[in-house]
Amino acid sequence: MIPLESLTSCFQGLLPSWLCTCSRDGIPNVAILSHVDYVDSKHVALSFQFFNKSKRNIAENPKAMVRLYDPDSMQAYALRLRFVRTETEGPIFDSMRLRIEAIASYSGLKGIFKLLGADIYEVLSVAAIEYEVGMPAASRAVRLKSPPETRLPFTLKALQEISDRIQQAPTLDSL
Amino acid sequence: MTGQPLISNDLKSFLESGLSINVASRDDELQANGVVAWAVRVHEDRNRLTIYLHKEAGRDMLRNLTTHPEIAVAFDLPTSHRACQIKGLFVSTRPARASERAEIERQVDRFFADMESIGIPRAMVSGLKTWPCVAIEFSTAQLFEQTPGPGAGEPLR
Repeated sequence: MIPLESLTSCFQGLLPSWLCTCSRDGIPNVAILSHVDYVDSKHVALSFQFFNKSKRNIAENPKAMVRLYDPDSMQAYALRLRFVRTETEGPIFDSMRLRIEAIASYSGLKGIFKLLGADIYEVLSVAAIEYEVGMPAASRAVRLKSPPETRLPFTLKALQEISDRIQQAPTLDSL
Repeated sequence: MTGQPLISNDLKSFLESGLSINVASRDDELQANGVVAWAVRVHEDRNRLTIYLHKEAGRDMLRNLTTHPEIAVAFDLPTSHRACQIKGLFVSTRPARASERAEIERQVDRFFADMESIGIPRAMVSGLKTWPCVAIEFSTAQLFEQTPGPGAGEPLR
């Protein structure tokens, strides 16, 4: 199984994910999901913001599937999950609540996304979706070797590089 | 039953405008599976749709649909967050025709343009496989609002 730790970029909430569930009587449901959080090597947390069909399905049938994206490469991953519990307080909930507020703010949906709980799921499998590779491997390799100023602007890696430069610069002029 | 079409003119225009399209089915163990679709065609009767998936995504879906015909398809426009979900029953499948390719690519192009406007450059999606496609026809049973807000999850009117 692909280690969850290798999918760090996917858990930043920069791109929405898709949650697929199924009711006890066999009706599937697919809904967009604003955020998936890493919990530990075998668990993720999904945001519970509305008591909607996805939530009702999980109450009947704990199996789910999430598709999430690496914002640096647009590679898609499929995670098969099994619901464990909902946390309504504590560090996982608090961290997710802050992230949801930030996502809502820059998505223009402030006030609509209120976190009701952090749903903890066991991760049963992780697979890269072979036909959903956003950026071809050759382009990714070229991009990583090229001077930073010529690379595509909107990537998490680029944001982190800018943050590192700002942090290391002794003066404003040197930036 | 009045036979009223489920899909209005406005909804048809929205669905065929070039959107993020995600499809779900399930297996014998009630494990849901989801894949991306690239385009949709609303039939003249406004009660059936045909979605177009890359053949590998179609293979994943058809493995379930040929045994369990229940299908759910979500449509989303990233820039406006307007979204809906349509549930129904799988009817048939076939390879997408060469004559359909231009319309599929038009919808893909519009979707990529929408992504570009929110900061996802074309180069980031240039590796996505959008052809050849399989066409999956399904009959619609229920429509739901999925635009974030108080009405999310309600039947679409």
